[in-house]
Amino acid sequence: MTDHRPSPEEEQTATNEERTISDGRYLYCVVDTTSAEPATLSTTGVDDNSVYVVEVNGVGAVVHDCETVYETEDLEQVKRWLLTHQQVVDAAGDAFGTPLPMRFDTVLEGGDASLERWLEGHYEGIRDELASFTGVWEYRTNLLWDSAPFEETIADQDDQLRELRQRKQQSGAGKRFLLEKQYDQRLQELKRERQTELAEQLEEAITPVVNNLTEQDTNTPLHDEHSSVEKEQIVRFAVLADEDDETALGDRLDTIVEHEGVEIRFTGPWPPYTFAPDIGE
Amino acid sequence: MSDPKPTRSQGDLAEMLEMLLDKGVVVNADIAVSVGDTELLGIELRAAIASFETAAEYGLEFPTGTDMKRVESAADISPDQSDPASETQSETESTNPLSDDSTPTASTSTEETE
Repeated sequence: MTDHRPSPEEEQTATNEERTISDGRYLYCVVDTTSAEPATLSTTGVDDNSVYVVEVNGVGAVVHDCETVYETEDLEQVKRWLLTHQQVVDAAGDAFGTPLPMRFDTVLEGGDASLERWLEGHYEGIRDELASFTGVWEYRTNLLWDSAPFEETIADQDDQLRELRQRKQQSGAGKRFLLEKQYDQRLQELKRERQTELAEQLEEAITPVVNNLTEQDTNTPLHDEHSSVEKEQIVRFAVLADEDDETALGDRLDTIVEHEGVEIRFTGPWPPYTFAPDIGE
Repeated sequence: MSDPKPTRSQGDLAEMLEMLLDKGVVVNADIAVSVGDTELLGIELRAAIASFETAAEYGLEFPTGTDMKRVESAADISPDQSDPASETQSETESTNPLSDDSTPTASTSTEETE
């Protein structure tokens, strides 16, 4: 994103005109259709389009017909699209098992024939990937921390903090300011150590029951909407786990939550968004 | 946390956004139309969601026309917790210090279209 940007209206018009597609297929995910009839998937997709499956030898592409890519600055629209997209992928997962989920707004041109050729062209790779994800789902763990209880305890336990506090009480205003700064620095240092410790403990706890684990950026606009206490996001992991290990994973997360001020948001099962490879090239 | 089961609620919108826009299979093929545009779209959608998240966090007012029922369900707030009379309010209601959660308290015109 650089330099000049047209006004939203200009942009909207321009992009809509440029991006009209003939015989487009909006692709949600690819599934293994050997165990269920493709017709069993009956759901409505993005913008109320009917969803159906284009199949080639046991591999199915879950699609709807479209004439444009999906683009908007309307927030409500965005949310509707994302939620509906995910609902379709969930329905596909229920019907056919773990799907290979496409990125939002994947549109292929040229109708069913073109889609079938694409499936044939990548047939082996897609089959292998589907097989590797059978019975496996993505889960997400988000470690949140309210440092207040820790700060309270450590204030008494740490020798340096205790000493700085005592000196502060006996000092004049100028010196006190300096000592306060030192106190704060020491506290921050201890907090950082504790955070690292918590993140390591979480990783150690869940590693034995997951097939794959990857750390996610914590700089996302993800806020804890469920709590009044301001909690800091310490670490996020996306993990790939066998559905049979879901309970074991949850139990292990519970051991981390026993630490004071710690909360874990555990979501899933998701299709393997983070672990699925790109197709082509 | 008494229940170690994972959750799947519409409150996971931010997570869903990340997965659907940043992750997921990218199709590299001549017939793939939107690949080149996905990044731009992502930026636009992200900006939209970022403002949504920020608004929700600070209890700010949502843009006019925002369907608050949807926002509330997206934020995983059960109807009985939230203000049932979510009629048009021009005033920005900031976080209530007495409230026990950070429920987005803003309201705008509500259309119940579901």
